[in-house]
Amino acid sequence: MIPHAPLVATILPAAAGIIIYVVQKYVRKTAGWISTAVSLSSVLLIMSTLSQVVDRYNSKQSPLVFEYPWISAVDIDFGFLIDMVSFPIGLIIALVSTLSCLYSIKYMEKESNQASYYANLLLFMTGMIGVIFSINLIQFYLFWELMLIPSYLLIAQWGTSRRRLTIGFKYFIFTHMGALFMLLGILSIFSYTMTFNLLELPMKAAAIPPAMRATIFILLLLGFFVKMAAFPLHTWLPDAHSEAPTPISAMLSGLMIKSGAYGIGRILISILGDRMIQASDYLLTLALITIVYGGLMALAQDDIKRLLAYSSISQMGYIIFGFGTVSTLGIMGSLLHIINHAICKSLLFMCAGSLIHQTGTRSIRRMSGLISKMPITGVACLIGVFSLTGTPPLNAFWSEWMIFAGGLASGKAVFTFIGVASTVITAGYLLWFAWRVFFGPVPKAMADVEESSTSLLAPMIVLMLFCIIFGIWPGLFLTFVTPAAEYLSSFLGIQ
Amino acid sequence: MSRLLPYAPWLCWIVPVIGALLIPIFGFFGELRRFRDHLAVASIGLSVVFSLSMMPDAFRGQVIDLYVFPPPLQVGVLVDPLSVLMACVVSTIGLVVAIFSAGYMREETGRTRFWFIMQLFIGGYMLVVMADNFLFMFIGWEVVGLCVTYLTSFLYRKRRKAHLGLKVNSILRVGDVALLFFILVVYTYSGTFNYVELSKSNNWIFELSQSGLLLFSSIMMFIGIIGKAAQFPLHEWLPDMLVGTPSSSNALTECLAGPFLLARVLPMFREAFVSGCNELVFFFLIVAWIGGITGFVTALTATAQRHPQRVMAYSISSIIGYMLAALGLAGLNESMTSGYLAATSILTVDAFVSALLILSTVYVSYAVGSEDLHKLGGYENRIVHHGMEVAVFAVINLPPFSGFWLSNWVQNLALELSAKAQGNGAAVLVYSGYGLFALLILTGGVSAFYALRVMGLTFGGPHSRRKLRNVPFSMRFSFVALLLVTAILDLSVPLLMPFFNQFYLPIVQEAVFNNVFDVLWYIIPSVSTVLTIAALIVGGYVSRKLYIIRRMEPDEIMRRYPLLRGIHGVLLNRCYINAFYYKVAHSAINLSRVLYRNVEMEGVRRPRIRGINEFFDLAVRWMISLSRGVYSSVELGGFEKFNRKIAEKLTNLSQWAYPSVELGGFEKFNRKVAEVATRFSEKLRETQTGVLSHHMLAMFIGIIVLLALLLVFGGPLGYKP
Repeated sequence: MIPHAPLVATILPAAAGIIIYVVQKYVRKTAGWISTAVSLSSVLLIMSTLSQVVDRYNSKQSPLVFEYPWISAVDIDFGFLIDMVSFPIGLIIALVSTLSCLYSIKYMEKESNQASYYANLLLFMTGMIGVIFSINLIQFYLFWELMLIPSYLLIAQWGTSRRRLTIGFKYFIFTHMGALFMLLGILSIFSYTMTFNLLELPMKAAAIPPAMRATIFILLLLGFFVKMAAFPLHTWLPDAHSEAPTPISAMLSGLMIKSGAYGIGRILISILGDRMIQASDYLLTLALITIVYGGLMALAQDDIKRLLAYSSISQMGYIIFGFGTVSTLGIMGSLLHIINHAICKSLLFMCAGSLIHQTGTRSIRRMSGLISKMPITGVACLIGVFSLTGTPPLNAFWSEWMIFAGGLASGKAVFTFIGVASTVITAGYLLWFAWRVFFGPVPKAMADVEESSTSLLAPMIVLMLFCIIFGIWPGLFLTFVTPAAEYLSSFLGIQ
Repeated sequence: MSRLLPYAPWLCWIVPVIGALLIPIFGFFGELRRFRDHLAVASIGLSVVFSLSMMPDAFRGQVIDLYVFPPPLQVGVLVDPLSVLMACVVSTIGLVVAIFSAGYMREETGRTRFWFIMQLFIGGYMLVVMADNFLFMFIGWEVVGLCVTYLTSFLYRKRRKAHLGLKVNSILRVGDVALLFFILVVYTYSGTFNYVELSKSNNWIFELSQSGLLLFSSIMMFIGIIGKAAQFPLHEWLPDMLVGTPSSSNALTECLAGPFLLARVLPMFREAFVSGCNELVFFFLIVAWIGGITGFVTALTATAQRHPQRVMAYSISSIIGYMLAALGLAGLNESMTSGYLAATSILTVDAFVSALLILSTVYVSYAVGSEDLHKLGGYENRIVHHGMEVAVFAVINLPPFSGFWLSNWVQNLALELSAKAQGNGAAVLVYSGYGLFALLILTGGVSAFYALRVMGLTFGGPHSRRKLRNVPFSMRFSFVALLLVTAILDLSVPLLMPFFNQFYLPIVQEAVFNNVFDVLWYIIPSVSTVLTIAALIVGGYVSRKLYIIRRMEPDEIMRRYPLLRGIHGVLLNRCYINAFYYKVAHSAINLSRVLYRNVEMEGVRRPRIRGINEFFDLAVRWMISLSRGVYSSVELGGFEKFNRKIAEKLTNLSQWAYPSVELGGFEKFNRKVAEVATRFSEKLRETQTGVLSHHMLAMFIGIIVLLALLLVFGGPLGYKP
């Protein structure tokens, strides 16, 4: 392993971003390639910790921790925690960010302020990786806000319509409010336990009085739910995700909103497990409402990106459902779905970007029969669509059935039945979308549409292959996710 | 000791999948292009060889569960009589279809796509058959569903056909979701997906029964089966699929996966039922009734269709209805053996019969170049004619052909149920037995009508002088091969029965039919045979009059009897079930649009309730305007003004204080003090005269004053009395 790998992996993109911004006169067109290389090296750095993470788990040692002295007055260290829970999610975040970066090179070619775009993108990436690898809650919060600022700038500056400033502002206000609730919760925890450290907190959490536990639980949950866009706090998402330039949409929808899910898994389950069990029914109800509502909203859309954004809301419902079942299988399913949905949704957003780039419209109604014009985009999109609808042997099938089997394992048959039945809506809107866009006669206006260039297709092909490979061999990620789920559920006192 | 080829149970489904993956490479390079067809036929042919090699083991009653354990789950294949027989049937028909398609698709474009899907289809189907656990089976199940969808939309440039694929997938999805729910329930209560382990102990069924989920989840499974097997009310996808696909692939009746799965699960349920899970009686009843109803409804619908493939689709549904009825009755009756054997032998024989029936219509359509039954008339070809005869005679229950034996058998099962239930006094079962019996007899009559109608319309009528297309050798060859196999199976059902019983011994566990005479004795002396033949005669007579010798004009009759016209209208519109699906889909989309408008975005106009999105937009806007308002009223109007006031006051005060206090008071006072001091000093100066006597006088006065002061205030001056 490379020394200080997690620190470098987290900080490198931000540092590179700032440098690119400073020396923008000299980099000009190469900014995109440099950023891609930087984010790729971040991926490799994270990968380099792989063997240690696995070894330490197998030999039952404490997880991999890197700490650097920071605020000695209150005894807070700046640190990174890499274990079975954070490793796969961090890895997929770095990976998809790299692909988005690569995708941007062609997609954002004609935009102004390239250097500043990539600088923001890299800062955004640092924020996300930092959230996942943070060892203490205050650092978690700092990186959480670091995600917000560059993404706000990306929407407000490179947004696609005139409303971008309003939408960016709404996004900023919403997420920031959520983050403040979360901060309040974090500080309350600190006031009782006198520590922010995620590894110490589960032991010390008993010091929090019961009434306060409920309050803290709700505060943290509010923060996470705003980020995950659970009903009815979701309205920032369709606006922001359809407004952002497509590579950023892929990152927002595929990666950023998962940080909320990670928070539920990492913080709520390990520290406030008893409240989690109590809240199970409410969480499941909310999850079902989110699934069905998001799905129905997606069914009504004509704008491709807006459809995918609502689909993300619906899919977040699945993840909440898995955690809400508070069973090992459900948690496993949710953790796996974080990864699978990241792959599929980024793939679909990139396909949408490719369609928009080549046809010049976002309206589904105007598209038809495009598979003959854009075969690779078409196949990739269909694979993404079928995967998200839970068709084996594609990747999302595995996480979906685990989530619902988790529901049955904890004896919630009615909730599970409704959940399983609502996957029909998911299938409905996704297939209807794919069919309208790709099949049927080609309209006259699109007679000379061509397939996108290779640099747009390459990231899509990589993600499409992930969909298939992780579908045929789900064990690749399950080797991490299964122990992670067992580790997390050990805090709940269940088997 | 097993005699099968090494890894045969794995390879029989993996080889077609590998073939599918190789096809794009073949399609890509111009040189290899010519060998696409050969590759596909070879991979499917290998699959046949592997399947057949498993036969000896199955004969000896071995059940081999081969599995490997890659994390997270154990995956495996199961070699038992049911799976081996089905694998042979599927791969053989697959091979025939592949050879037939090689000719049929000769002039089409997109053959790479076609072969990719076909091989994946057969691979998936074989996986359904061979899998040893539910999850693995479900993967194959979904792969088949996907291939069906894609085949339906194969000609995706035509809007209508492209749309059919979406519809097929949506309907299949309903069934798949229900099946997935059942599989998850089983996994939760038993902790395994594996068939062998599941059937070893039925504790899980009892636990399910105690939790009250058993009936519900078993019905969910049945909905899954209904979806795949194209049974009422989810059967309308099949006609659309057969119309949409390149017709040659239709003979791969993937619907048979449905009854196959039921046959797989039934023994477990039956055992639980026998040992006390009484609610399963409703499950079996539902299975039998759905089978009976589908058989009748689809046969009726078939009578009015004009597209030959649509008739075939309803015919398949109708025959699968018999299988389900047999399986349902197998669960309810005294012994499972008879019903189970009936269902599995229909499964085997019908796969060939349906394939032959479909291929013969496809053959004619190909040669004549039309897909309208009324335009096919007058085609002459002895092989095809005989082929269709073999299939049609089976469908219409003509005596020595398979249909006669098998449908009578199922009808006998229904009567058996009534007889048994009369002893127990369960009225529902008695009526169900008689009801099913009547329904099946009627179905036989209707089947005779529609099957002879197809035959009459295809071959009857005046000889037309149209130019016929030349039929390629591969089509003729595969058709003849299929014809031979089917004819043998079709005619030898009573001979096959004892053999089947022996073959299925590991599953049914008792030998009921030991030789041909047992079979004949079981089937022939019954009221059922008489009624079946009567129904055949009635249905066949009408059909013959109308379509074969054409004494009566169907349109003429329609005009004369409005009631018939009405019924025909309903049937032509597929009993409005199709329309109902569309209604549901449209309602869902409308609902979502209404919700999007009235809940998410704009909200309701009167009374004015904001949508969620607008609400939050307003909230954000409100926050901005609030801050503006606060700024203007509180900050500017309040504090700022107050501050200004204070500042003003202070200024005023200082402006007042400076002249009046500072200048007028202190300054003036100071000046006064200075003036007084100056004046005083000036006065004092006058005393400084310089004259000594004046000074002495002053000193003298000073001493007196000091002394006086000492005397008055000084006290006793150190004196202490």
